[in-house]
Amino acid sequence: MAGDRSQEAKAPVLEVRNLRVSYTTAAGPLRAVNGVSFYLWPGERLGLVGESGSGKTTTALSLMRLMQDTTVVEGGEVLLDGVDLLKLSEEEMRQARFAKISLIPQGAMNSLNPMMKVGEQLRDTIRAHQPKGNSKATIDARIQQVLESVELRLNVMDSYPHELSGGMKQRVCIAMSILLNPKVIIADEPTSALDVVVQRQVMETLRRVQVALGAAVILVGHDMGLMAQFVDRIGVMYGGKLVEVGPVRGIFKDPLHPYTQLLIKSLPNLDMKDVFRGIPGLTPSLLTPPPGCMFHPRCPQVIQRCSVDIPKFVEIKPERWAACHLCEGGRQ
Amino acid sequence: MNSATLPGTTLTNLKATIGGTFRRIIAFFQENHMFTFGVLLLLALFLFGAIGSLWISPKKADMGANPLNLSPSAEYPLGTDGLGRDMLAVMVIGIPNTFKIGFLAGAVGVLIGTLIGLFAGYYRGFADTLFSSFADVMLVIPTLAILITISAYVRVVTVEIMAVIVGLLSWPLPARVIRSQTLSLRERLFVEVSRLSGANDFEIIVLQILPNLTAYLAASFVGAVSAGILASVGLEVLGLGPQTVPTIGRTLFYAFKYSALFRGMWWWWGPPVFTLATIFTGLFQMSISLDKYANPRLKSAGRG
Amino acid sequence: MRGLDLRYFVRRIGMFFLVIFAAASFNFLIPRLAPGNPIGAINSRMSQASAGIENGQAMFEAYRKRFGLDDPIYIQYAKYMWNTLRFDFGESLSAYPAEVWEIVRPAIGWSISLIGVSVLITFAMGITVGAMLAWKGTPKLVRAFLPITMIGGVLPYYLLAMLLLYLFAFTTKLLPMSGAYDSGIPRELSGPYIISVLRHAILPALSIILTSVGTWALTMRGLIVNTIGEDYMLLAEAKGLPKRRILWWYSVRNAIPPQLTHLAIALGYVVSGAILVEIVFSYPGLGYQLYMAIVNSDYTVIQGITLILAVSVGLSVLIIDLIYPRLDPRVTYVAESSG
Repeated sequence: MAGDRSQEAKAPVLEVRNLRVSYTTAAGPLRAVNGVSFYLWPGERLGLVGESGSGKTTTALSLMRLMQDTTVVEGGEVLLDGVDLLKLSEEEMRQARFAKISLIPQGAMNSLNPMMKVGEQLRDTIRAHQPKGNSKATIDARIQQVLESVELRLNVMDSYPHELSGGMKQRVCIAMSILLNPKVIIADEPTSALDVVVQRQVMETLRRVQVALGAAVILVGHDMGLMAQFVDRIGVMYGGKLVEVGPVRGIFKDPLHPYTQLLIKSLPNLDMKDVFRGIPGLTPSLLTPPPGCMFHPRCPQVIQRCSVDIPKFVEIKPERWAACHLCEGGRQ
Repeated sequence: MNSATLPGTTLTNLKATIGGTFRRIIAFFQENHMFTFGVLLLLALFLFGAIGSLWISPKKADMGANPLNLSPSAEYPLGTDGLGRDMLAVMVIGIPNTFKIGFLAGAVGVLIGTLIGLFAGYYRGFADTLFSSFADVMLVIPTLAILITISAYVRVVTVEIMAVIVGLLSWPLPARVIRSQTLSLRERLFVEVSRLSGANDFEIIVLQILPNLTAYLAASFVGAVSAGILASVGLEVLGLGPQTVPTIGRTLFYAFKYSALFRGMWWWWGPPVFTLATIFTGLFQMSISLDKYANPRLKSAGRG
Repeated sequence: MRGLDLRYFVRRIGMFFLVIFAAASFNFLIPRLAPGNPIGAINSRMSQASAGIENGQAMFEAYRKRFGLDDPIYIQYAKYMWNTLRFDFGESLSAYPAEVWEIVRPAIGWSISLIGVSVLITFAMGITVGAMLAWKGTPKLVRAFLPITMIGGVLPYYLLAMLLLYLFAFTTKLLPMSGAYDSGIPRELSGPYIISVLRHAILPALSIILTSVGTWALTMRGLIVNTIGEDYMLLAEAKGLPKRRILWWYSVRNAIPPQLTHLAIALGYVVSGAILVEIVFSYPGLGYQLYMAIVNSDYTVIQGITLILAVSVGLSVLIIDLIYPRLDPRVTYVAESSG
């Protein structure tokens, strides 16, 4: 699909360098995102997969600086078109949200304000970003445009969220996310609450509007089957770190990291249509992370070095990145 | 299935639950300074009444037992009122009476409320509809209005009758809280397990559901005591309380009636106002910390 | 949808009539259930007293006729209910032959304006203070002053009323001590009269506002804090809405309907409290009339006023219930799912 386009000429639209985010807990700081680096080409679809607690959602939300009181970005850079979002002022960041980087949230069912008509919630998104000169007619014209593009009738504008189905609500969220022509859309498990049929339809809609807009998408999720169908590249997260990044085909055919290998193996059939079922062992405690590689306590191919040195995240082959001593060894 | 072992098991469970509850209560005191502070305030007032009664003759609280309208002095530390009563003696006798009404009323209210709440929440159906509607109606009618009507007819009231009347009308709020908690508890796994292992409704309610309501019961009790004192003092201020013994509210009634405020006799209305302020501050501190305990979402403002 | 709305309204209105019915029944039953046969006692007391006062015998007869004391109890009950429905509470015992309704009517206006205005102010203040308490962006200086609003919250209304009276009327003489207007000014819609009415209302209203605003603010804070965890708050922030817009239109807006339910429940307490405040200030509303009636053992007036209090609280709750669906679009839906 999109994997073989020539990317050398272009610069990445988003580049994340060594992002570190931690939660303050009663027991001490909890490093939820621990040195994550990746890039995203314009118009590309990147999937972030991992178990719950792997830091994928925290990573995604940190890109927009959407954080709880207890969350601290400890370091790193989030370069969007060369501008470090982490260095923007509060007001500049607010302006950037949805205008440059937007979000399709996880809880589709509850993400719209139940007390406000859908149209008003779309309007206030535009008004928050544009000077007051815009007339209601201009704003509504734009809203009608995006609603049509997600195949919703215009009368949803006068509906309250509870009057819409789950799929319709998620379409409203998609429409909202493209309202201001952002460069990057983060879709955080956008279909997790929907049934399978609606899931496919919503994903199709998302793909269509994304292609039409030329925006890049980061799809966060744990459904490998959905990933395989939707994204160009996959990033696998484990214990707050990216352990492997590569094109979908490569990841599925020839996973480099032992964790990715287990992930692929645990898929029930070759159609890759099921959610992965997990891997023996416990997810690591992020409060007291194991020394060396985060995965070594569960790794079937563990070697001496794994419990001592932290493996570096390096490009093993063209376009294939991984953090594992075995792969490094294989290359040398 | 060996049914003989089952009651033993539930009994052990109950002991463990009670032990756990006790430890939780100790921990609660240590963690909640506000609660401890509230308890200490009430304790101080209670001790004032208890110790004071050892020193001061109750006769001095009778009308005409002392000179009239004296401002505080060495002999009468809180002065005397316009009816010749020693204000210190009035307070020493009045404070325990006010506490007695409040606690009795709170106990009656919570007892009735808990029974109704448990019954309606556990059995649901028609009984629930009936009780809930009745409780809703009772919540809307201003309790003081009913109390006034009752007290207006039942003029000769003792401290105990007063407490029971107030308590009989203060059950709707506890009933509501207990009912909604029972509704959710009865669907829990441990209740289901105990039902499947042959426990009857009574055992389930007493051994499984009730121990889990401790926090709500405590919060309801403090609330009911607070409401009980509020209502009874309100009635006393109207002149409708117990007629023969001094209470804090009745002291205020006389202060109003004989215009203590306009005559500048601050020692007449001051002590009851101060006492009531202390009582309500104490109860307020307690109920605030219990609210937090029963409703943990208030504590952390984090995003789920 | 319309059918569901109808069901909601019918249920609420039914509830209102249930409240009136219950309150009226209480009023009927209490004198008859009270130990020592108070009706009989009143009877004999009145027949003794009636010998001494002018019109005494006529009053006594009217009283017996009104209660139909010679009829069987169920006829008495039916007569009583019928009279109540027509707002016929009979004649005052202490000011015979004045009708209870005539005595009570002017008091209703004073009470409703005092309580109504105070509750509205309290509600608005409670929401604002609660929002400022919950909001992280509140300036530190403002935040430092917010706890002041909590101080009155621990006291019963009438205690604060006494303190305010002592400080602002008795000691400093800034405001009048009692009544609802200066008796020297003609009662007409003139500037001096309005100013006089407002000056007299300040302290009673403040007693109600200051004692309840703290609790309102605290529950409001709790409700707002609850909204902070909601998914729609994350999307609101992600959309790049200004913080103020999020606070008022996403947080506070969603916290108001449950707060309104609290108001409906608390109204009975507010009215009970206001009764005593009126007594402290000799404010000529229902509470003060009630106090006078108790002092004069005027049972018909006591019954009339307590019933009117119950009806007005019931009516206010009904009004809140009827506005509620306008404020919370989900209500009809909730009614559907809960049967």
